[in-house]
This record gives sequence, structure tokens and C-alpha cells, in this order.
Amino acid sequence: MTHHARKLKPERRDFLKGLGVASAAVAGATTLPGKALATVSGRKPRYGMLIDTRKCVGCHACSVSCRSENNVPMRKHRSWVEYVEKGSFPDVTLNFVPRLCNQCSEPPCVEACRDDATYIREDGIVAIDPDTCSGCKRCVRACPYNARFMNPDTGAADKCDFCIDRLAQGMEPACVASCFNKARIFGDLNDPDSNISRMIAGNTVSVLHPEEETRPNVFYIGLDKAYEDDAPAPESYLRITTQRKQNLRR
Amino acid sequence: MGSSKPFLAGFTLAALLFSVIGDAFAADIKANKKRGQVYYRMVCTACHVDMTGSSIPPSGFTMAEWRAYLDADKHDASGRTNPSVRYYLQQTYRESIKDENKAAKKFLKLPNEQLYADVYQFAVNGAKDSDTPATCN
Amino acid sequence: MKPDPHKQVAPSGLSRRGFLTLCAGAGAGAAMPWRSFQAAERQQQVPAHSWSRGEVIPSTCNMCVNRCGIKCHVVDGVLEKIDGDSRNPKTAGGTCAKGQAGIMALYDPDRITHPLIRAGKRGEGKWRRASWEEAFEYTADKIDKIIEKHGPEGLLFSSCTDLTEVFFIKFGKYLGTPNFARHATLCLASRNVGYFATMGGVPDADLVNAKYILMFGANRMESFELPHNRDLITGLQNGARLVVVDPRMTVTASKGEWLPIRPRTDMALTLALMHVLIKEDLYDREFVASVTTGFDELKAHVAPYTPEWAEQETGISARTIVKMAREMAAAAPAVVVYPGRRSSWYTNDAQFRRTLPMLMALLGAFDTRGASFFNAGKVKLGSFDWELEPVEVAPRFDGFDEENFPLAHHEDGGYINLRDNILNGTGKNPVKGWMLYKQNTLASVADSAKTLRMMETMDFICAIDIQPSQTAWMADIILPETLYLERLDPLWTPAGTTKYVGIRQPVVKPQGEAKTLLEILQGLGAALDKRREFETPFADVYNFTMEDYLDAQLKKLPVDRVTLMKDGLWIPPGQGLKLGEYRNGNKQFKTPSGKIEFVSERFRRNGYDPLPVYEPVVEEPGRQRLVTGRYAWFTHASNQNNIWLNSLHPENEVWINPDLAKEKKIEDGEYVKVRSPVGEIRIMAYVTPRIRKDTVFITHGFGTNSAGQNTLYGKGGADQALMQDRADTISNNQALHETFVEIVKL
Repeated sequence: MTHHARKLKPERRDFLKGLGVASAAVAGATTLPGKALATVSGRKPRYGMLIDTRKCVGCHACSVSCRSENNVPMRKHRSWVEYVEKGSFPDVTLNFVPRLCNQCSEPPCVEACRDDATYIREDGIVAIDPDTCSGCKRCVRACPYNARFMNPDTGAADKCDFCIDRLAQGMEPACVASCFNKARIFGDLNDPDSNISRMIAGNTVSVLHPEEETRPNVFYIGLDKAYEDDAPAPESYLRITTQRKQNLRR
Repeated sequence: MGSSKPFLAGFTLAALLFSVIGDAFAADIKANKKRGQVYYRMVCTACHVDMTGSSIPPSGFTMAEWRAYLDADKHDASGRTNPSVRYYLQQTYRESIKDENKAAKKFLKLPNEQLYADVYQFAVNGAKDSDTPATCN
Repeated sequence: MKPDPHKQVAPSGLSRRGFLTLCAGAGAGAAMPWRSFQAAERQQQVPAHSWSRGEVIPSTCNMCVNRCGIKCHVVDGVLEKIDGDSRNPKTAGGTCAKGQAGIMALYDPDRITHPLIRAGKRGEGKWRRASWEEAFEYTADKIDKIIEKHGPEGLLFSSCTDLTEVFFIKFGKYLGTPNFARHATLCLASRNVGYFATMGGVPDADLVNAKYILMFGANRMESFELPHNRDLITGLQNGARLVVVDPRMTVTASKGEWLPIRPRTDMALTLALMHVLIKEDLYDREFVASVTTGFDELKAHVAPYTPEWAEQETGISARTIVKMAREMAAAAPAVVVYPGRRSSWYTNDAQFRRTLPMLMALLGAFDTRGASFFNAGKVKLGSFDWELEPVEVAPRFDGFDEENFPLAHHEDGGYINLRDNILNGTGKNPVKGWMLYKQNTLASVADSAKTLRMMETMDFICAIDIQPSQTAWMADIILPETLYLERLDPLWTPAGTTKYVGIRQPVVKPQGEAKTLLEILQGLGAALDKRREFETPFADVYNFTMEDYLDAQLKKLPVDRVTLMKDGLWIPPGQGLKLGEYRNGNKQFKTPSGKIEFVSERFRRNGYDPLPVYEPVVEEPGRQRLVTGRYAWFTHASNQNNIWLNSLHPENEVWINPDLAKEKKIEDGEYVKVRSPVGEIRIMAYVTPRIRKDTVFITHGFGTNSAGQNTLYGKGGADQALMQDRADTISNNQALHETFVEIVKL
């Protein structure tokens, strides 16, 4: 893990502030009541994930499980975890934000793809056909979450696909299965009785970058703690560390 | 603990020595807790489990209780078994079970008082109020 | 892509599939001696991974000591994926990063897959490949020569906890050596001694139902102990309060309230908490009266330990201490005063640990819902009918015995005094041969330079390992063991709230020529039998298969081996734990009084303070106390070289408080020198408010001397190079947090 602790520079502060405002503005909209979901429902599933950051301990079981399951090349990541440290001694907070493709309902990556290599499946998963992908990287640049990368083995764009192969066998995605603390809930957002729908209905949830209007299908409980709550004073400390060696979240 | 090298030769010599000196020097016998442990577990426990279905770990009693019990040398009040604890430590008893019991066979020639001292020390050192309570495993 | 094996075994963009084929190529063409005999026969293709093919084999993980239930997806003889076993009562389907990386341990290009005999100087890294026959003869020869000259007591056997460890220890016993050193005195020996003296054992904790959980340094969210890490999260969801006392803000501390205590003053806090509970009459009178002894003495003893006094010692305000005591009393008895696990902190550790069950007892927080409790024990396995061990053995060479350490567990040894005795020639006899089984002493014992000096005095060092660890790198011969995924192990029965029997079985064939420990000992035993007459010939001792061993263990259980191998685990009927038996007097504590002893009879009669007396802390101005600890993705000093895990954290850092960094003009991410009285290292600075200014933290397992660890070599610094050799005076547990270091800007 690398890390970059820094005094908040003005642009960083603006970034945080901007995020806070944006999130707050959409927070209500992203708290999806179960009933609203039911009206969306067709008979086909729409897969989604809910991550309860209160239960996450940043242990990276998901990161390695994903690498193993999907043969993710070294130094590339479908699944990663942000460590967010804030504050001054001894009033410090540490929160974790597990990250993956948000499987957006309005994905900029799909829009950016000129080869029709990336598409939304009927179950809502944003998938990639590596044989069709020309490797132009437009989708990689288009993703506001930095969830895509170029796979050197295939030459195609790559990212999390909720472990399609496991789903086909009736199994949960690898990251969900490996999580000791059950911080990840996976399921059908179209089914109001699914665990994930009930959890979303019963908790305040939010999504990353709602201002991008991508309509993510990955939801979080407790994201505010990691990002917006107690926004640090200008001179205070903030560090976001991931195993991806990049400190700026996108 | 014995000072001899852990080989048969040394061991047999020590055993011979004790059998010559015999019980007259019982007070000087240096107990070998490890040997007591092996005999206790292989002979005493094995038989208890067979006969009663349960074992009696050293940690089942206090040091004082063990001393009193062993000094009184009263094995069993029911009258169904030999009433003496020492009986089960004697060479004659060991001889009688040596074919099916490795410990009895291994310590066959050991003087009675030596084995008694060994088991005595293991039981008392493993008592529940001791510093090293011992189980039967 | 043509990778350079000298630099990096996992160049960018290398998948596991590509990586496996690559290894073979690297082995064939590389100039580096280490590489030249590695991986030649490991050429294989990993097929595209799909769950629609292959089979799923249940087994037991071994990436740490928790032994989680796993399911291994194997396709065409290649392990493709490890998942958790959701039926496992302890682990409920979870795995951690380490468990997931078991595959990379299996296919690690640095794995040793055939015997290696040293060809250059020790540590030079020149090895030659040997056949097993040669390896056995070579090792037997060396052992025989040492016995000839020094007797079997000239040998030292070192091992770490594992299901197979018993075979290794037995081997030493049949050889006739009394000299063993095990994991406990690197880890939890002081906790065990403290709890044993006070309440006859270490209790489990009902973290799910607790209302208040107090942890001293314990770091369940990063140093896993199942099911406690899972239960702790559940407990927090249920509304428990968690207070973590630690000079460093661990992940565990981040989930609760962090009390950054001045290091080595933990006992001042526990004594002051007891002071408040008694003074304000907040303690559980009924519990104290019925199941404890020595309360009046305790009352008098803690009278001077006021919160105001403790504030001066600990840096935690008197107000906070009083508030804590009141809140704990209000939550009692649903309070867990957590025992912790690795307690190798300070030289007074056994005495400090004693205060934890004492505090627990004052709160009546035992043997009831939400509190500590003694769990229901384990499934009783049958015992294997071993040949009898020699009973006439010499005393330990190092004086770690009943006379000098009456309350310690002598078979666990203790590296600190053991090493001194060897180096100073003060032992009862010279020790010239060292047999190691999955023990990485150089990386796990304080003052590694001293360990190296000890190794120099040895005539022979043999390491049984899977990888060229720091210690194996300095050995004369390395015997490659199979990985847990390649072998059948003795059965596993945990002590816990749910009893079960778990099996560890081979899911793939061994890599290269790796052998199981049992096979290694059988081969070595046969070679020794040719040279010497032993009280019981090894041919008679190790004349069984692992299947025989398991059958003996299962003798009295209604499940057979084949069923167990198919199912992976067996859960007996009639589970359940009856609480309240100690409270109502039906059960007695395994202490001399049968009660929880505030005044310890065992301590008293052996000349130790019968009540824990606080020793003021001596600090060194201008220097920081060095503490160590774990990240969730590394186990001890064992898998920092695992490519997947290393990629999460390629090198370790020294944690420095921002105020200290400012004074020293040290920037985050810059390399600094850390200097102690016994060594110095170069390491990256991690400037963080998650640590006190008087303390620095370095995680362990880095700074390897082994160039055979290609991923790890050259990265980070070794904490053990800095630590001074201290040990707890009662348990002989090494004390790793007793060193002060200087941070020097480069």
C-alpha cells in the first residue's frame, strides 16, 4: 500500500466540499424505499450490491478473492478498498470504502464505446465482450469511478462484472462470499423481498458521485462517515489510501 | 530426573542399581515425573476408562487429597478390585499385563518403590491446586 | 514479455495463468543460482477458470492458525479458487485475504520443491539440489555426529503451532532431547500464565451480547481470531460499546473509542478502574463474595491507585477513568474485559494480564450472557497409540525449568534465555544442532543480529519449510514440506461454543518433490536407525500412515474418515453451553482455592507479588518506544513474500506522529533511519495521527535477508533487527515493546 498524507490543498478542499454538497443534495433521492423499487420491477432480476461500511474492516479479502476468481492481472484491480483517515491526534477517524464497478443504469462507459463491446445485460450488469473490444480506452476514460482498466492479457477493457460466471452457477460474487463480516449484500433490486431491497429500504443509503447521474446499482451504508461527516478543517489531516497507488478518488 | 543418557544401556543400569539398593533407600529415590505420567496414563487411566467409563485426572483432586489417598494406599472402597494402590504398581501386576500394556512392559524391571514414587509425584504435581494441573490426555 | 527474475517475479500485467507458464521459463534460463533449480518441473497451463467444470473439495485453511473451513475449486488438477465453507460454525463462509492467497502460496515461484543443501557459506544463497535420499543421509549424519559428541541434548527443536507439529516434537523426544522451543513464548505465554494463576484458564467472550467491551491492544479486526472478529462486528451492530486501549489506533480501535494510552502503563489503568469500582461501591458484591478470594487484600492494595494517580501514568484523564468504571458497572455483567492474544509486550506482562480477570471479577462479568465464560470444550478425539517415549532424558540445557520458572510451560522453551545460554556457553550442555519446523526465528525473535550470532555457533541447522524464509536461508539444508492444500493432516477440533471436527485434506498433488512432514520424519528416522540404536527404533515409531492416525482419532466417533473427507466437517449433536455453573458453585475454578483469586496463591508460593504491583515506566527522552502488530493480510512473518498479499502492501513503514515528524522535518513517504541499541534499519515514514508521539509502530516480516524471497527481498525493514532481548520474568514470554528507538532523517 502506498499513501499520501497531505495538508488539504484548496482544490482538494473544494473537491471534498463539492462532493459533500452533491451527496447531500441527492442523499434523499438515493434512499430508495422498497415500494418505489417494486414499481420498477419486471420479472427479470436487476442485480445490485449494498456495502455496509460500518461492518467493513478493510481486510482486503474481497480484493484478493476478486483477483483469484477473475484472474485479474497484477497491478490491475476490479475490486479495491479505500482507507480514509481523517482528523488530528487523538481525534482521528478511519473508515473504509470498498470499491468496484457501480454497474450504472446509465453508464457513461457504454455510451463511450463505439464498438458495442460494452453493454448492459438484461440483469443490469454492465458487461464487456473482450473479443469485440478494440482497445481504444474511451470507456476507461469515460468512467467517473475509475473502475475500468486495460487488461494486458486480453488487450481489452476490463472491470468488475459481479462475477457473471459465479452467478450462472447460482453463487454469490467472490467478494460477497469471502466477506467475513457480511458487509456486502448482493441480490435482486427488482425483488422487494430480497435482502438487499429490504436493507436499502430500511437504511439511509447513498451512492458514489450522484452528481454524475449515472444511477449506480452499488449502494453504501455509512458513506457519509467516510467522506462528508466532520469535513476536516483546512489544516487538518486527510489521507485516502488504496492498494491501487492512487490517492485521488474518482 | 535421571542423569543418565537416554539409551537403553544407561536406563537398565539405573534400574539394576535401584533393584539392588531396594526399598531400604526409598526416601532417597529421585522420582521421575515423566515416567509416572506415562504409567499413570497408560495403566491407571486405561483401566479406569475400561472399568468405569471415565478417567480420574490428577487435577481431579488437591495435592493434600492425593497425598492422603496415596499414603493411605486404599484403592477402592467397593471391594470389587484389589484394595491397595501399590498393588497396581508392583512388578507382579506389571508382569500380569505386560503383553497388552506397553508401559507395564517397558517399566517391568523397575523397582516397586521407584515406580510408586514416580506416580506419586505425577499425581501430586498434577493436582488441581498445583502449579501444573494435569489431565489424562 | 521476457521478465527479469532478478528484479520481480510478478511484473506488471502478469496474470496467474501467464505467471505459471513464465516460472518454467525463468527457471530454465536464469543465471541466479536460486532460480536455476527452481520451478523446472512446474510447467503447467492453468485452464480458463469456470465453475461449470471441475470439483469442489472441502478442507481447512492454514494461512494462519484459525483453521477456517474452505472449499477448494479444482479443475484438471489445478486449484482455481478457494471459497469459505458456509457450514463451518466458526467461520460461516468467510475467508480473509490470506486464505484467498493460499493459491499463490501453492504456486509461489519461490516455493521450495526439492531438498536443498547449502553449497556456499551460510546465508550466501548458494544451494545445490539434492535427492531426498541424499538429504536424509546428510541430515542423519549431522544429527548422529552431534549425538555422538554432545548427546541428544545437544539438539534444539523449534516449531510453530500446526496440526502436524506433534509429529515433529515426538521426533525430538524419541531422539532423547529435552530442548524444545515453541510458538507460545513468542506470543501468548504471559497471558496464559496470568489468567491461569487468577482463574485457572483463559475464558472465551460473548461479544455478540456484550454491552461494553474493553480491549487492551487486542486487534481483532486485523489480527483475526474466529469467530471473535465476526462476533465483535455483530456486537457493535447490537449496540455494544467498544473501548480500545492502545498507543496506536488500529482498525479495531477505529470501530470503537480509542484510548491512546502511554505505553506500558496499562496496569495503572486497570488498577485505577478497580480502585473506582471499589471506592464507589460499584462492584458486584454477590459475585465477589461467592466466587472470589482475597477481596479485602485487593481493596487495600488498590487504595493508593487513584484515577488522579493513573492519569499521571497513563495520560488518560481521571475523569475518563471514573466515567469508564461507572459505565462498565452500569453495563455489568454484560461486560467483556477481553483477554487478548499476543501478549509479548512487556517484562511485567503476566502481572498485567492478571489484572484483566480481576477487573472482570469485580464486575461479575463472568459465566453469564454478554460476559466472559469458559466454553464447553472440544469434541473428544481418540488418541493415537504412540510408542512410548524415552523417560530418562537430560534436563533442559537452558534452565527453563520448574526451579527457575515454576509457573511457565517448560516445553514451550523461550528464545531469549535459550539464545543467551548458547551464546554465553552458560547452558547445562552445548547445543550444536538446530532442527526447525515452520519456525522463522530470525524474523520472529527480538534482536535478529543476536539470533544470527547464535546460528553461527551451530554445527548444523536443518529447516523444514515451504519457502526460503529468513531463517531457512541461513540453514545448512532445507527440506521442502507439502503445503496444506497438498496433504492430509491430523483432525482439528476447536474449543468453542459450537463443537465440530474439521479435516484438512489434499486438494491437489504436491508441487515438485515436496513431502509431508510425516514422510520426511519417516525417511529421516530410517536413516538414523541405520546409524544408531535408539530406545525405540524410528522404524517402530513412524510405521503408520496419516490415514491410520485419523482412524485412531475417529475411533470412538460416529463418523468415519471417508465421510469426513467428503463432507469436510462433522458437527456432533447435543451442542449447547450451560452458563451459570460457576456462579452457582457447581463448578470450581482450577485455582488452589477453587475460586477467582485476587490474591494469587500460585504467585505467592512461588515468590511473585501475589497482587499486581505497578512499576513506574522508565522512558528515554528523545526516543520513541517501538511497538509492533499486524495488518489483516499478513500472518506473523510467513507470507509477506506471497505475491498477491505483498501487492496489497509491498513494504512496511514506520508510523510517526505528525508532531514528531514536524520536529524531525520528516515528510510522509520519505525514507528514514530507525536506530536502536542493537540495530538500525532504513524504512519509509508513514506520518499519521493514528499513533502517539512517544511511540512508533513497525509491522513485522519485512527487511528479509533471504534473496530467495524474490517479491519481498529489498523491501522495508525488520522490526526484529531493532528490538532488544527482553522477556516477561514469570512466563518467559519475549517482550517486544521494551525498546526505544531514534528516528533519524536521512
